[in-house]
Amino acid sequence: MELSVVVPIYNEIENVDELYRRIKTELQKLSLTYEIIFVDDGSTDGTTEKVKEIKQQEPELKLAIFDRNYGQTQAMVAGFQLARGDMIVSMDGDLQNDPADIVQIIVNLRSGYDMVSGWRKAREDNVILRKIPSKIANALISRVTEVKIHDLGCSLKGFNRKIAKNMILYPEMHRFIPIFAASIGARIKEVQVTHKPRMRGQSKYGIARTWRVILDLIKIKVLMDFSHKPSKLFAAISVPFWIAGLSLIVKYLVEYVNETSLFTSSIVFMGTGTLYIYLAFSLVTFGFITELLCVTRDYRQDKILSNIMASHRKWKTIQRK
Amino acid sequence: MEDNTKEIISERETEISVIVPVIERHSNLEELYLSYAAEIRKITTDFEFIFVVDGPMNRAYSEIKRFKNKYSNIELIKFTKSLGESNALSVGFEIAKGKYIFTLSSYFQVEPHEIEKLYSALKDDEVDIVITRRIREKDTFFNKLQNALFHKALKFFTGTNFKDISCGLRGMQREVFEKFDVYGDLHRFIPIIAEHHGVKVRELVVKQRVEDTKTRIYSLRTYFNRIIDILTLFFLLRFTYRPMRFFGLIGSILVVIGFLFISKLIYFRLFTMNYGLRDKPSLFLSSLLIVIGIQIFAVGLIGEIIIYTRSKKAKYFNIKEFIE
Repeated sequence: MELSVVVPIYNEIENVDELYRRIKTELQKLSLTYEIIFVDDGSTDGTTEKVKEIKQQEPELKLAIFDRNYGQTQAMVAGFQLARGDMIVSMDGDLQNDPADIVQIIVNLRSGYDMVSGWRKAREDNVILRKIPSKIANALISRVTEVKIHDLGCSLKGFNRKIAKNMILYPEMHRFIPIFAASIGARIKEVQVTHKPRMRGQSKYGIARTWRVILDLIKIKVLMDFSHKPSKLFAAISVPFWIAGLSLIVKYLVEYVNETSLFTSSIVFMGTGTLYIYLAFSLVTFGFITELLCVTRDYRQDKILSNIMASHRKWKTIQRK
Repeated sequence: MEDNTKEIISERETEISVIVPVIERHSNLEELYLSYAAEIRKITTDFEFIFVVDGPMNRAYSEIKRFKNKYSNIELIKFTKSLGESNALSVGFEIAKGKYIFTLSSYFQVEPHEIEKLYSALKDDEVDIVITRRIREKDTFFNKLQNALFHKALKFFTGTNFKDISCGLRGMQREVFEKFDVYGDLHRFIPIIAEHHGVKVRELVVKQRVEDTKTRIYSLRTYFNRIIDILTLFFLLRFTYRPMRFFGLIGSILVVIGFLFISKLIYFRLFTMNYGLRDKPSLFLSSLLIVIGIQIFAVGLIGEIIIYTRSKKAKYFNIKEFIE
């Protein structure tokens, strides 16, 4: 199987029919073997029955049905696990992505990229509520993480099989798929895709608040860069407090020894200094505790990375031949 | 091999399992068994009772042992040491063979005939979990008050509408239990956790037994534990996969406040004559805020690292059906 298209579906009773037809038409234009997997994420509006109906007429459609709602990310993960294609494409179930864009993604995957991410350059969404905030957020995130991506939120993405199967996606991680892929050594390409406003049904996202974006940013930076060496991270945070604490204590001691002031008059410096030293100590200890977490971890980024790098080398030698 | 074991399990399946954890107080257990068994017999004769007796409850154990052999459908398990209600329930679920599993407190809480209501909700309406709400007509004022306060707090922190989460009589479809891993004292909140994950939970109104209307005054530790439980639940339901959202927010607010105070002090120190910091306790206090804030923030980071490094083993979804 060359291509798997994974589509998470949640309460899309009005869209599924058209969605399936359009994906199928696009895929039939390409001469490759493919499968379409719909993952029903515990829909409650009858979508489940609807897709089963479609399945009866279209036996090549594959259906995975969750026992309840787990969120879009988990539907994607399930689809990735079931997918048998060498290339795996994921897309939204609400027709905001145009199935015609799948071609571009496949062309780029074939030319050797491990991951191709959609970029909704001309977004047809509310400007103030969604476009501008997400633009700023994406710019910030791509700057901090050094992954050059303009649009993190686009669901239309293509993966090389190895990357998709090794993707660690727990709830809340879907926004960082490209960053995560980069951390396990994927070569990433961004392609512009068309983006339509929702035709039917309700949009399921609200406005992300600024502080959340900033916290997310810190989180993803820490996870990508420090989750394998947390003691370094915590030691680094503690440095200013070592300096501040020690200098305050020294100041107090100097005054005390020189008797330039009464014993109690600069007690505030001593107290503050002690406080900072305490924080610095506890941060270093936190680092050690977190090292223990890493020793017992079950997710080995290094292993996946070396695995994928090896496949890159193989691919290069094939190209040279 | 695998098919074989499956077959054996399905052979052994019964219609109803009733699990009775015997942890602290209990009424006459034979009477309890007889009155509930009589009601269940009206539904089906294909049922079993599982008594799980905690370590220290030796008298209850010998009591059950005495009447156990009179009836054919009693399983008895005794812990060697005190392991608590959660473990008792887990062990009970593990050996239960029933399609529908009921849990029952070891003392009379609810009129036995109400069990039929629970059964029909599970069987006919395909509800995943039924819990019960005792109508407290005859209950004492103190009981009503502490119950109301507890559920007010519970509603505030978890948004649940259940009004009697601590009633021991519950029923559930067999599969449901396998999906939720509960530990500690959290077993009493299974319905809330389950409902949060989209499982169908229904609260049925049932009649309270007279025996249950005695004023209950628990130890101070119990009350304290309940408060901690509610806070734990609040955190787990909302922030399990995003601890940074919780700790990060609290931590950063504290740091910002502390930082503003310190900047004010430093500003005055630099630009005002004769302004020393040595006699300013606010330097100390604002530093304290920063210190606490950074610590909380760091805890959030540790939380994220825990989730991230352990994310591979956890399974977050369940495919009911795969049609190829």
